[in-house]
Amino acid sequence: MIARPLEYFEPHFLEEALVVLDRFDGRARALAGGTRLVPELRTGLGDVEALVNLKRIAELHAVTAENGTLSIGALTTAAGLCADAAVLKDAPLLAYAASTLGSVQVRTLATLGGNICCGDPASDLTTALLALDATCCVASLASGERRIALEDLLVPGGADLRAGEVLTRILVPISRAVFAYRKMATRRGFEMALVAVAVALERAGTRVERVRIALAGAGPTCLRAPRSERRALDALAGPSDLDAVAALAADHDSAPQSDLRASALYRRQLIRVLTRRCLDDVRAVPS
Amino acid sequence: MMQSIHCVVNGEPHDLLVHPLEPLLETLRVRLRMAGTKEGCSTGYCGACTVLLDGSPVNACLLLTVDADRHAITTIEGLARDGVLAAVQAAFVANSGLQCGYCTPGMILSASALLAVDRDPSEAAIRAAIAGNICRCTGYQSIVASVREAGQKIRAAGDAHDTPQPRPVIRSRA
Repeated sequence: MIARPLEYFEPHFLEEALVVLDRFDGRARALAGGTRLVPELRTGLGDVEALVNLKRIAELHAVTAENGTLSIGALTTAAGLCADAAVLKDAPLLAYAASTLGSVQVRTLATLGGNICCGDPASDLTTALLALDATCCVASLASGERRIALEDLLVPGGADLRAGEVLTRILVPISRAVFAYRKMATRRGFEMALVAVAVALERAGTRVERVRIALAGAGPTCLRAPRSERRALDALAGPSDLDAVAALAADHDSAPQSDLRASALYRRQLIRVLTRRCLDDVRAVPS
Repeated sequence: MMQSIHCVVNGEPHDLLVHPLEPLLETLRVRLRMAGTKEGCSTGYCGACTVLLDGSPVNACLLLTVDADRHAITTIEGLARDGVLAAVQAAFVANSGLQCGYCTPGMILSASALLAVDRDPSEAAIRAAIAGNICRCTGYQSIVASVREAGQKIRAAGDAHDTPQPRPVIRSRA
């Protein structure tokens, strides 16, 4: 049985949602896919006084590509990401990562925005978005829309949203990058990553222009691997050994934690091996 | 504070007044008296409560009934036609694709959704489709065999009447 003292709102427009979130000043929770929040209802949401169901707000479901940017509404589901023509064309890494998330049932419900805001350090979607250099659009009644790099939004255990703010959409620059995504879990289906690695490589002819390496399960949040990225710029340009790049990711860019599912030591090994394999993957794609 | 919703369950329209925080699982089992959908973990991991939302599998424990407004739900009760088991159900019986039976409704709905889009699924595709359905009797071999045989039967029958392809009767506002 669910305890039921909460006020419930079902806005059809973003503005309505922002008014409610503003009125409750941090004591309202936004409901997206519900895969995290609905089970929490059974144990109670603490001092939360209101629930704002965002599912009726059409603009939060929109996926559009214009001016070199893919804009993905925060309520887009994992299944939606796997099937959306624009995402498949302009951000195939995200579509692939989404296809590895949870189970079929969970992918039907779980949303991109919810996934980011839950702050899971092993999130497939957040890791893919970090490698895609994504920017988040956050809205509130008080300050309108602000944009923040995904990296800067992530804090341990969640997203760094101010009271009254809601994540509305995620912007992904459309590039000609090639991608790799590798994930290790304790079983093949329906399991969170122990470690996942996403790599995006942008080339102009044979010249390597940008490399982004993102890691899941490598710290308190999903994170970028800056030292490894800098080394990879040179290493990927030639035939040189990529082991050193992978070692930097594991030993200097990561601070993996031990938990029930894996030790920090094992995670570090996985980061090294999966990073190496991802780098091999992207290097093998003909330029 | 009740919400008025309209949804179609197994082809039957329902107008319901529900509490906004009521999960679909509770609505189905308690309000609509359809106990075929099972409650397992109530956290989205076990898949015992799997139902189809406009043809897509969802955990009924994770979906608030208000979010089923203007959608079509299929439960295990909705698969048989005129007392005749659907091909997937018959294949589970023929292949002993069940032991205690608690996971079976969810397994069959996940399998139905797979076979609606892929009538000749590989073993890997079958296992991926039921990854969110846990069988604690661990009878996965015969479950996979059941799904494979159901696909064969459906292909042999050569028509779509056996696989549920519910469509929303009213278009979602979202």
